Amino acid sequence: MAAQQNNEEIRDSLGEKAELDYDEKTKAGELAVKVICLGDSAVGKSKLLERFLVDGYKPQQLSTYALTLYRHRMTISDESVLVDFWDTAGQERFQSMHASYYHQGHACILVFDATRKITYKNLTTWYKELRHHRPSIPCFCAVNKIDVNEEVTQRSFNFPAKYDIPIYYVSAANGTNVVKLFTDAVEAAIRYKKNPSDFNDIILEELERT
Amino acid sequence: DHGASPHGRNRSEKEVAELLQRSLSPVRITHEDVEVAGRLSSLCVEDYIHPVVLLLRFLGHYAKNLGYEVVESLNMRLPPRPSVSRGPPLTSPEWKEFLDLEGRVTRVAELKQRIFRGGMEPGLRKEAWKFLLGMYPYDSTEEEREELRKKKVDDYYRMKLQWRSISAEQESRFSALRDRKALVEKDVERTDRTVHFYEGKGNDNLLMLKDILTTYIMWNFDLGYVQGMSDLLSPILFIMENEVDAFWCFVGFMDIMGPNFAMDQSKIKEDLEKAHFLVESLDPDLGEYLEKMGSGNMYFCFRWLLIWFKREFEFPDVQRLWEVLWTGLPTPNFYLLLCVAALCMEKAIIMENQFGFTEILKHVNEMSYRIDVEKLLAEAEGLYLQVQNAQNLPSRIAEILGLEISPHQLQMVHQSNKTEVNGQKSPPGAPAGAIGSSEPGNTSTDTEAMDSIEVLGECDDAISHVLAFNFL
Repeated sequence: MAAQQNNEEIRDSLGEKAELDYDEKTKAGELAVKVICLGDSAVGKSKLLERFLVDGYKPQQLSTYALTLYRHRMTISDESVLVDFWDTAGQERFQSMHASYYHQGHACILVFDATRKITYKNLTTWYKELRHHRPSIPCFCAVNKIDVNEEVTQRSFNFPAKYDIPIYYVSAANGTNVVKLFTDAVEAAIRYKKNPSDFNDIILEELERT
Repeated sequence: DHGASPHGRNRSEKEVAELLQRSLSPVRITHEDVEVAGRLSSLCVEDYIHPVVLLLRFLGHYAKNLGYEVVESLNMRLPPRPSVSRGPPLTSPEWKEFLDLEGRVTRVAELKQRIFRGGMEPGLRKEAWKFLLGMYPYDSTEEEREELRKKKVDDYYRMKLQWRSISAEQESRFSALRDRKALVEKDVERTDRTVHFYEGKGNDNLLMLKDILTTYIMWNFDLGYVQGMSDLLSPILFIMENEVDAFWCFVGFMDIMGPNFAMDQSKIKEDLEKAHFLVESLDPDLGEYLEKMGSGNMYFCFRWLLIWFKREFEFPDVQRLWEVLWTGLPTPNFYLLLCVAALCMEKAIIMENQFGFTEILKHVNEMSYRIDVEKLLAEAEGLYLQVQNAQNLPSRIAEILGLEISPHQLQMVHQSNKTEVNGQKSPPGAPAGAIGSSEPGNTSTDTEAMDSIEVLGECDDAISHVLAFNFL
């Protein structure tokens, strides 16, 4: 599994290598990590990012085509970190572009919408695609729009439990748990980057289970 | 120097034959081939083209005769990029000059040229866009248009009624429609809400946007609704201020843009590849840089291509850009040159900062609202003119930009009748050897045999590194 992951050669839909180099350290000596946000269209991926990055919330966000990249610098445990958040387009139509943005990802946040069941159902598809490209990166699950549907916070969900994915009840509108979600994701991304093998154990466990 | 002496001509002709004999034997060279070689070698004298370049050109001709097609040609020689000046927008009195007494639009080519050069005054858009977007034929009279519009109104409301008359209960068992409608609703809510026209809760124009897109689902159910389409409709509705007119103009726009939204995304992928090829050809430094940085896939152009720069400009600029593109001048693929021009404009920043794929992507995202639309159009036209006057124009570029290769440019592919290849006189110096095993077009398996040969030319700076022939 480990070997496969290291030698994994990702090619984009045009058959070209989609090579993005997240060097060990940036020129400024920071650790660079890449965090990917996935989920159906309009579940609030961009809004969550915006809430986290500028602590602001614009109710009418534009839809994301293909992908948008947010670069953010933060300090985690006294270490300077450069984080690229890759915000992706949710509509199925644009999925052929995905290979390039999974590449070298260090962590992933799967988002669904508490007010739309279908967006939860589709998590399985997203997860499968993610694991196809990144078999072992840490993964997080976020239930967004809990401000609209409060009961959802009392519910437990089968999907994250099954795959042992931590779940966060969040609201981009009022900010609940947003900082926690992203900080945890970035920390996990750093751990993964420093020691990818830890996560291989998890993935092996997973494989045994299924 | 292979000067203008008769000796020079003879020599190069002989060289061609000898080199050919070495590289292509055992194939037969016909009288016609020699004629081409002769003509090319006279070019050598008149235009001071290196004999080896000519040889490669001849190989192109020869390969064609054998059923090969030249896909990569010699290094293109680009003239300096001309600086282009944009014109003032078409005015209302000017527009009226184009109309005859019955209201037909006359001198359409001239009109399009005029719109290409300067766009039009905002007040004209409501009327003129209906022609540009094919809602009305240019040669229709005002009376005919009134009739046509009545039909279009009926047709629109017929389709609108189709989805309006489906009850909630029906819809609960009609997921194909339900899903499509849900996509529209999600997107309408986040389309240009900062533009005054679409601002605020319960905005009527927003409702109209939704109704038009939902009716479009009935017009083209197979395509349905795809993200991006609301962006294409929004400026049109803003101009038309009328549901029916906006719908039919949108239909016209979608006739152009539809392939962008197809499930397999093949049009976009093709366009990304074409844009890459154009960058490589028109700005080799940048092309090489992008390749080196793993950015040859050009993904950062995706949004530009998908919705024709809609997210890169403020509303009035988008309108200007689109009306220019709708003229289809100087080529329907002009938008590809816009991509190239936009990247060339940022070339210094990208290269000096050593941007990799991620940084380029981020930079391109951040170019939104910072591009001068008139400058971009002028740069792209400059690129077009440069290509138009280029020597050794690769056939692929000519194809992408819909250019005819004129006689003064290189004709890599000699257009000759391939009626007779064998059994003719041999040229001086060439033996009457065996005939090449692959005769053109006599077996269907030829087309399936997709082998290719590469001729490496290391002889001259003016020669590209690789000449690739694809077997037809």
